Amino acid sequence: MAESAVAMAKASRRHPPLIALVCLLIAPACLGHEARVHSRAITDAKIVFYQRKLEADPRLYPVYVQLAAAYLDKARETHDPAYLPKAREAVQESLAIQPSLDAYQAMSAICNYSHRFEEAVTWARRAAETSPQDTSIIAALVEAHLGLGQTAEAEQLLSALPASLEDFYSAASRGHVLKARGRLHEAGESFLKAAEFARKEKATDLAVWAQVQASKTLLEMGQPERSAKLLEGAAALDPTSTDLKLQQAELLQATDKAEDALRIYEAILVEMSDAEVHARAFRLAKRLGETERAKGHFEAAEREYQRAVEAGEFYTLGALARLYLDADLHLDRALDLSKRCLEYQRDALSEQTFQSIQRKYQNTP
Amino acid sequence: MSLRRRPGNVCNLAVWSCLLMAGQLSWESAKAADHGDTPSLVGANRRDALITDLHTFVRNGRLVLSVCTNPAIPVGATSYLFPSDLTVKILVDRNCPVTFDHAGDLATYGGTIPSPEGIQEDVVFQVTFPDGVNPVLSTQGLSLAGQASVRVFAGLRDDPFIRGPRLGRNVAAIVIDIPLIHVATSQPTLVIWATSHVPELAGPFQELAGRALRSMFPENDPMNGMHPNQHTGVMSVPPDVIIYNTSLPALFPNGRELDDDVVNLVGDPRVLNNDAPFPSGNDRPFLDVFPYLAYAQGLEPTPLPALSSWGPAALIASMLFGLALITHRRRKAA
Repeated sequence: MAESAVAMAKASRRHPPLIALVCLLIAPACLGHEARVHSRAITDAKIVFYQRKLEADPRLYPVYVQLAAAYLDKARETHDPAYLPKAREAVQESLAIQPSLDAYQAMSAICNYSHRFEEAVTWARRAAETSPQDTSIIAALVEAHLGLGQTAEAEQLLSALPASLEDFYSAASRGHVLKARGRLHEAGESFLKAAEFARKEKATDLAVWAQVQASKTLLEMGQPERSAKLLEGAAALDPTSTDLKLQQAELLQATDKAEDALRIYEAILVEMSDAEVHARAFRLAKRLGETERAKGHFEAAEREYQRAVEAGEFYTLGALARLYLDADLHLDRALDLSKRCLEYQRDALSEQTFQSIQRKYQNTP
Repeated sequence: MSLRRRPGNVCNLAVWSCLLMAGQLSWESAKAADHGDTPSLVGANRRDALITDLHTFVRNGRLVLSVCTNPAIPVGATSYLFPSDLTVKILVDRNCPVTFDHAGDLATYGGTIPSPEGIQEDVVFQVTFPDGVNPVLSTQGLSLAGQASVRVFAGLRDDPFIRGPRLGRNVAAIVIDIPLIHVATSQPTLVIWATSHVPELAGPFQELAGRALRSMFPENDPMNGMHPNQHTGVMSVPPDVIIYNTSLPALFPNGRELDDDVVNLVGDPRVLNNDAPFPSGNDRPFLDVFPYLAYAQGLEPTPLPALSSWGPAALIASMLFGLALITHRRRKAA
């Protein structure tokens, strides 16, 4: 599959429109690992295609946004932070030629992804001025406000939405806001509503995602059986979903089946490397007394988190601090990281992380 | 583009942002809120290629064809660059048989096309923008005299869509006019539609505009990638075109005048219920001269000095100067 991407990229030199057409026509029919490889090949081909299109006409402002979106996909797929500044630069190029809603929206998505929530608010507001009834923009704003710990602002945005605009985005956003407020039952209901919207639109992956969120909420409410039932429903839609597998592992962990949960995490890691999965696997292995396994996962997680920090990104500061906290290592550095994290992200988890590290640090002789 | 989600980054704690990536999801079609009616273009970050409206009417013996694009121009923009890879076409079938004896069709579509599979463009106006500003027009099916008499305008204009959420908004407009006699050569009735195309996206075109408020609804989205002569065969619905009997005044659904309030005339609750403050006319006056669309928001038609922070100060300064001058002369005279 990767070779085919290279071949497509080469072919794009000769037939740019053709190659993109192929990219867009190829249905993501593959499942699981194969689907991921397929998706990455398409992202690579898109990057090459858009770059060539811009070489031919550097004033094609919409294409810079398309390139930025492809870079963001690449960052998500590879977890390589180097793609994030490229994505931001591409949007800036587009904006310098002509401001557009597509550029505003892309920039808010990039900023949310990289936890630059204050910037995300600015860009999403500009987008909302341009398209006030677009619930996907409201959702981006809600996400940014929640990242900044501004739950009231997020609530206000959703309460101002007319009922006629209720859809997947508003329901998913409402679920997150209710969760931030600790109203878990209502949050779960909202995620289920989002799943229903997604099912109606035949967006299976989104339906699975929303159902998994509802299951997660039930688990947090101490209802593992109902949580498991929702996961069964999600598995019937797409058993290969990574979101689903992660929640299955969480459920197993909560029901004292830590070994099984660890196996799921490690199975996911065979298919793709992910710092957060390594971190979760580390915590489980540590709890199980599997020192070597824990060490391996710790090192892998630390490496990936660190890579983003070294690249000047902020989005792993809190996660790396938590990793050190759970490993009882480098507490002074953890304190510094969590403090820096709070400059950019002020949600409950970041606050808790900072306080926990501070307490531990003060109690350490 | 169907709703989809690429493999998420679990590492990133704001996992749900993956769902909200620009271009990932398109619910605009389901909402039909404004003109974001083609999910494939929204999903590809190409709102610039969205067609918002197609108007067609006659002024002073000239057939006017107006296509507006890009509903997402930021408020406050005072200039516009068309992407050089965008192709907009206005297509006219001037020989298509149309009947007017079916009351329902007449009221809804402006007439009946008995053989929709026979719809074929006889005249094509194709507009591209190699430098982003100046439209390059090429035509097919026109006589030499016809070609010589075409006028084209392209640029930022006030959105002529009479609709609450579009008050105060601009669009990127393309307006063409030509003496009617060069187009309606065989019969007075014309069948008209417009398309927009971005080369790398699938299909011969990605957006089709015919009669107002049809292809923007999700159930009609497939029309946006299909020639009108396929609409009935594939979707079992009348083709999405404007039927314009030019022997009668343009009045929706017979053609479409600029001041036709199609939201009210069509009465679809998905748009009507979301039309606050329910305007019945455009927010800026249409022009009596070509290109007829109102001046863009933020661009004043007359060169009145803008009321900048210097304006009042300059006015007061000149008044004081005048007063001082008069006083000086009176004193001198005394």
